[in-house]
Amino acid sequence: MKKIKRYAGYINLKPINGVLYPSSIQNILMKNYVTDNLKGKFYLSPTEVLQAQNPITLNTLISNEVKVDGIVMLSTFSLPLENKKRKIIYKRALKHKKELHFILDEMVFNKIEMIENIENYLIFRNKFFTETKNKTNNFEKNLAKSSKVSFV
Amino acid sequence: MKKDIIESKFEKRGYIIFDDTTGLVKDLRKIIVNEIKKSNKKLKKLEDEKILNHFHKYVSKKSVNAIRFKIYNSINKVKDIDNIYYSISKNVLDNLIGNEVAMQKKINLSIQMPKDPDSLLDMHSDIYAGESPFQLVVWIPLVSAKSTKSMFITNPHHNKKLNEIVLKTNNLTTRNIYNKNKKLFHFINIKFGQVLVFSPLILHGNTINNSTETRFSLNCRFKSLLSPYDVNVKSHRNIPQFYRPLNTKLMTKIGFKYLMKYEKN
Repeated sequence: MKKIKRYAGYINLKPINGVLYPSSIQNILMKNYVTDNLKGKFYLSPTEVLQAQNPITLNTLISNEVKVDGIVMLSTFSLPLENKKRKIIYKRALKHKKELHFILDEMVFNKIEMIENIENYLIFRNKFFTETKNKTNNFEKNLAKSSKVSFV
Repeated sequence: MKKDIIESKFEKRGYIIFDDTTGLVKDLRKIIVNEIKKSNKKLKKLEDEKILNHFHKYVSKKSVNAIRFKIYNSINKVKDIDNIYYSISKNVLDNLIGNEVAMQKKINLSIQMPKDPDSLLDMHSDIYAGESPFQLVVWIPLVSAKSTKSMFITNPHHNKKLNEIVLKTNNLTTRNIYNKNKKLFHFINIKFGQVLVFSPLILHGNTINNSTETRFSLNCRFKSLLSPYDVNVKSHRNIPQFYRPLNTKLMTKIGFKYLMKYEKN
């Protein structure tokens, strides 16, 4: 009989590109993802310590101490900002054979080659993509003036 | 179609209709019809067009949303569906938004049965729901559609006035505004095998389908990868919530990796 895999949710209360998901909603999304998409068993979903310098909760989940096959989180955007800290997570997850599932990005980290894909995706966490555009600079103003076309 | 023709038509009308030269629209329809046939064996021998146009004869209004959702989930799981959809309108998109694009994460499916009051989408601009003014909608009918079987849209000239009314009114509903200004809107007349690309800045919507046929159509949004996502207000219409990068070019990756390495916090 095929072994049913166990997955832990990882709740991170920092906004994902401006959207703050309450922990209850994150929990529902993760639980549904584990049961419907992965056909696995949902184990638990601890919350990251907001004040900590390092992602202690995520580090705990990917350690040997927690007996799960993988960790499910909303997005790669929930990973630490610092490259060094992410590298540690990738390394430990591979060492302990734990998959990392990112629901919104529809990505799974389960082999070393995926690091490049995740790092490429994290480009879109840059403020170039996440900042709300409220003002135009002089170049943009001139560009807009150069065309008579406007729909509003 | 050449760039200047695409631009001049688009500037004038806020949309463009063109023939699918890839043959992929037929493939998309086949995928959907096969999905319908799976759940209703009685339809196996019928022609694709008949199944869709006469869908209301085989399925009740009550169950249409559940079926729609099932088909929606299936088509979005098809391997390479994003690139298939993109290829159909690539030439027009290249000319209007460029060739490095972000694509809406899911392709939407509309089923509008005759006389169904529950599938109405009142007059609106997608921008009102926080979507980017830099985006385009690629709308693909799976059957020919005209009049109330289709969608209505205004033109850029009238849109300016109507948009102001929507944003400033204190006592009118969107339905009031549409009803009072019906003559400023027209229904898109489009044949199966054609594709509509429009700016959702232009007010559009649908009414009760008073024809005797069901309309099936797909829609999906595209924008230049490097254009702004959240404009004036922060919403979820961004990566990773609403959009996904479809084809990030190498120099974009290299440039942003440089930026990330040396950026000042």
